[in-house]
Amino acid sequence: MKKYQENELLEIKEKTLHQQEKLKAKAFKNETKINRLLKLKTTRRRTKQIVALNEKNQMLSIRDKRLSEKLILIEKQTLSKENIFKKFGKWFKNIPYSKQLVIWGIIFLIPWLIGMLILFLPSFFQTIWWSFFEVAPEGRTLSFKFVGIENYKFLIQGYVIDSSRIFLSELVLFVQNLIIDLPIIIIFSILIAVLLNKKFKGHTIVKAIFFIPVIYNLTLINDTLTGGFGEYLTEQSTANILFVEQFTWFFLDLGLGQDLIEIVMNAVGRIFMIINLSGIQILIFIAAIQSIPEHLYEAAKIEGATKYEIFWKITIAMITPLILTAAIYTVIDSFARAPIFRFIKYATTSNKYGLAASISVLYFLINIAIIGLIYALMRKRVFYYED
Amino acid sequence: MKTNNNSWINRQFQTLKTKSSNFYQRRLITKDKRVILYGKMGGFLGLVLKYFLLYALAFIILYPLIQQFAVALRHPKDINDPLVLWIPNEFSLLNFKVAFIVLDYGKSLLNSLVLSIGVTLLQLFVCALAGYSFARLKFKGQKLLFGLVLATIVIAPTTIELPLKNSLINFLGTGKNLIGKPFVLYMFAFLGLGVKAGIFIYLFRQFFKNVPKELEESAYIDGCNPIQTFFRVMLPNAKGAIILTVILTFVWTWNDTYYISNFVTTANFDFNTLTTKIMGVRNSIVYALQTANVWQLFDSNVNENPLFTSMILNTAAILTMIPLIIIYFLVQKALFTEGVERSGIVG
Repeated sequence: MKKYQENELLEIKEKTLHQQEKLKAKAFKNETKINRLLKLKTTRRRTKQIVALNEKNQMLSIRDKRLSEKLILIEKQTLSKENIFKKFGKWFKNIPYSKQLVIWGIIFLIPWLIGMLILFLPSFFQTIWWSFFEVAPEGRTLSFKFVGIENYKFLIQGYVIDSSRIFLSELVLFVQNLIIDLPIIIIFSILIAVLLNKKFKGHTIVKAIFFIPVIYNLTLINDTLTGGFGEYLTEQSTANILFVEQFTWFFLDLGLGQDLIEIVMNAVGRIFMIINLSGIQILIFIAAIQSIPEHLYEAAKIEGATKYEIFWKITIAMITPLILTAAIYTVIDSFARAPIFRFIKYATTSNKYGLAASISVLYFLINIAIIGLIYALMRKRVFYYED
Repeated sequence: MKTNNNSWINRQFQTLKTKSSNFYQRRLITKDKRVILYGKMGGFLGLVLKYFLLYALAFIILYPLIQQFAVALRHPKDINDPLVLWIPNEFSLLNFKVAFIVLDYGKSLLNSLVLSIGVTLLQLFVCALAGYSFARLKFKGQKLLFGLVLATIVIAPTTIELPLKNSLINFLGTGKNLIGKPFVLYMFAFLGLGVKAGIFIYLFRQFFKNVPKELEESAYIDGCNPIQTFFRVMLPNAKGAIILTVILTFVWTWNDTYYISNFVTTANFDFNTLTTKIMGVRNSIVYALQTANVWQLFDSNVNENPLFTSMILNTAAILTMIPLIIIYFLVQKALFTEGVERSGIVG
């Protein structure tokens, strides 16, 4: 430990005395303020002020105490030099704990914040900005030409790639499919979660199998199987197609509505796709069902509720918040798989960056609109249980 | 007056009474029996339906895998044999050999493993820190920042792709071009822009919100600062969320083609993970076979068959999935006991 010289000590002593005087003056000022406020009529604002001033005075007195401790050390001539880290540590320790937490909170967020500030937010706003321009690369820089909403008009009126794929019709088809798929996926995953929740023979292995779709690479499987050898195999066995067709005819004979049957039978035909899209949702619902407190079921059984009632009034009611979550996740997930890549790539390769940006913005807006719609529809039906 | 209990009319009346009550009792019993029987039958039917549904769906899930294996194991000679549908006449690993060469398997597998593990660890670290901050270290304006997290979940990565690429070509005005280096993927993961990072931040926030506050307070009283509290108290208690994050990030990075092909492989053809390699190969499989010097191994009878190339492609696809499936079956028990039942999804 290094020690100070005597003249240095004197200097420090003078400094600390000066600081102490300042603190005392401040404290006195606050005291007079408090006294003045106390004499006036009490209102809410004034009491708040008084409390704040009192807290300040407390802080001041603590600092004063520390300074006098330092003075004692100076008197004994045992004051030691500190390096900058120690000083910083001491300074940090003296900050009240609630404020320390704030500082740590910001430190913990730093990597994420940097990512947001230098990459995410600028890119996002640039995308919106570009969608109103005609942007084309010129060497290493970009050239801009303002066109207003011309990009969007072009998109809607007739943006065609590969000479047959129309942007607008594919967009409509995508949204239509999403709206049909969404309830099917949600109902299907609730059903599976309920079935998987109870123990049965081989439930560990079946549970494990039901999560496999999450690790499947769907495009790969679709490409290699339906496009190549798999097609050849199914052509030879033809079991799949026959099954769906026969069932369709059977229900048509029964006299059910044709549209409904088509939707349901399409869903049956695409059962593989639906299972593959609902892996995470099943996971969410299993977790949700397991978190329902057991005593609710017991109470319902004592009251004489049937299984049917228990299912609708307890299980479904308790997982409504997660139905909302799962629905939103489904929408986001299907938008991430949306067939916009081809359109964007086509626009980029033909150097129409502005057009590509407007495609992105359009998809984003539709995404937000659908999520908002789901939220608005389900918000009132969501039930939050409180112990 | 004396009453005769044993009079004829009385006896008749008594027998009628017992008969009718017996009849009534019997009817009651049969009704009960019927109800019980129907209930049992219904329960049995429900059980059968349940087993049928679950096992059938499990089979549908496994179907492509089984099919792919069946196709991958058949010898090229068997392609045109109409009798061979599922079980090949002649088992052979020839397809696997060819697919190994086409995929450049060793190198791609190493790339995939290193990239997935690195990205997973970085993403786990950043998301856990951010989630903890959002759950417990409250400050003014944090709600706005959390809104930003939700925005990153909602905004698809394609939306910001072009300007992001543009800014990465000349990174922060330093003139350095980051596109084409795997470093950029690690950077994304570290800056919270990795594969669906927003979801994991949300998950960790939900999880840490449910951890009792007393734990932290006692840690603070014992003299921990928040960073020590985080690593020594909160993280060991967050097993569920950690397992879920690790598995999902690993899988999504492994299967990812978007980030890798857009930010690395477009400018640097040497860097390929298994997934990007097969995605690149699938459209030009003949060319790939020719450049890999395996085309000449077969006679023209085999070569000219379009089914042959699709068989190789199929084998390559299953080769990319095998490591993932093995890893999955090793960790699936932990996933369901810890990851699902005790994760922060609900809360």
